[in-house]
Amino acid sequence: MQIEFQQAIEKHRQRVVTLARYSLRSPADADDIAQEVFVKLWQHWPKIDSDKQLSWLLRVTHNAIIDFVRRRKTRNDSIDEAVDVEAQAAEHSQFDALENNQLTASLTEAIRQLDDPFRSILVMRDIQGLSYAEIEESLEMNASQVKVYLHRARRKLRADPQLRLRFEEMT
Amino acid sequence: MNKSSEQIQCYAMQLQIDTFLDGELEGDQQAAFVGHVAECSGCAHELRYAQNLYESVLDLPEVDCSDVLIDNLLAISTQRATQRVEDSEDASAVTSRLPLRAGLFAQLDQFFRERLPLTIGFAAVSTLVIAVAIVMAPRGDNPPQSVVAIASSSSVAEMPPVAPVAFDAEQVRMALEELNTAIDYLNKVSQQTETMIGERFVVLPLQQSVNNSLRRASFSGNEERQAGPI
Repeated sequence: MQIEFQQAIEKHRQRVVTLARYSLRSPADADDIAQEVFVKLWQHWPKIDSDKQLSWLLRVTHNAIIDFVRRRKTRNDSIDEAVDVEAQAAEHSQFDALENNQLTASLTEAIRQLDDPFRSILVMRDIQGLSYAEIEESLEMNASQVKVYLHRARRKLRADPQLRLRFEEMT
Repeated sequence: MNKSSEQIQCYAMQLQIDTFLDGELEGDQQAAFVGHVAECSGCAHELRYAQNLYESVLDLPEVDCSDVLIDNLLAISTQRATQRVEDSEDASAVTSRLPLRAGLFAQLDQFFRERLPLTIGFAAVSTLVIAVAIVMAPRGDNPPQSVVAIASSSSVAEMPPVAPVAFDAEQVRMALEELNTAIDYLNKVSQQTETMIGERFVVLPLQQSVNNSLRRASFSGNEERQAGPI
């Protein structure tokens, strides 16, 4: 079981971490979410069908992010922002290096500003390249709901004025 | 076409941009969309922006977690696996000590075997309580009465009235003194028996000794009760 669990970590960790990183500003928070999700996977291991591991992981990640954001909203925003800035300064990961690209940074920030489930569906479909069926299973929605949410997420992204300004400058 | 209807048409076309980018517009719908974009600079601009944005999002990389997190995850699985093994070993140890289907008496027997001093203490206290009960029990023709007065109730209403009997503090004190004397005597007898055994076993002197001892311990008015064997 331990070896199978480690194989599951190898196979799915990128999906979990990507969804968390594009949802939360602090890489440390995203890593905490990922760790929490895999601990839950270990705890519920016997009950989870191996074919449905990914959808289970994404659903738990999605719910954990929602819970985290909800908890954070109850705290003082200014303190939270300061913590985020400190955490970002402390982390020097591959992702931070990518965000140094201004367009990528603006795009990532605009995605983070989206509400759920728009954000999760956009990340799953356009960044992670999951099929509609996988997203449906992960978020327990039907196909038409997923498409409607995805198109609305893209329209919301296009309506972001800073993002539009950045693209205008490029062209 | 007036300006208002143009705006409505542009809005309707721009709602189809994502469907078009996903390649899901078909037939007449696609033709109408392409035709409109070809003539409308605003919608053409919006389509270009949407396409650039869409491609930029598609280019965003998936992210891997830090090595620290990977190490943490592997450590968690290792620790928890070890914990599970330890738990199962503890459980099997308990099972080996006590069979799962062991009876109540078997379990009580094992309980007391594992707690020998407690068992001895429990036996001593029990013996003491029984001895006190025997000493304090009333003798003669009177039936035994409870220390606690018999409460009157409907069930006993038909019985002849019985005067409540209780031992007062003085009687209890006397009984305890008698018990202490008897215990002292038993200790002495035990020592005497050890010295006398091997020569002869004399019953009469022992009985006299018991009676003498009890007589010494007796109080006036209580000789009759004291004279009996313990």
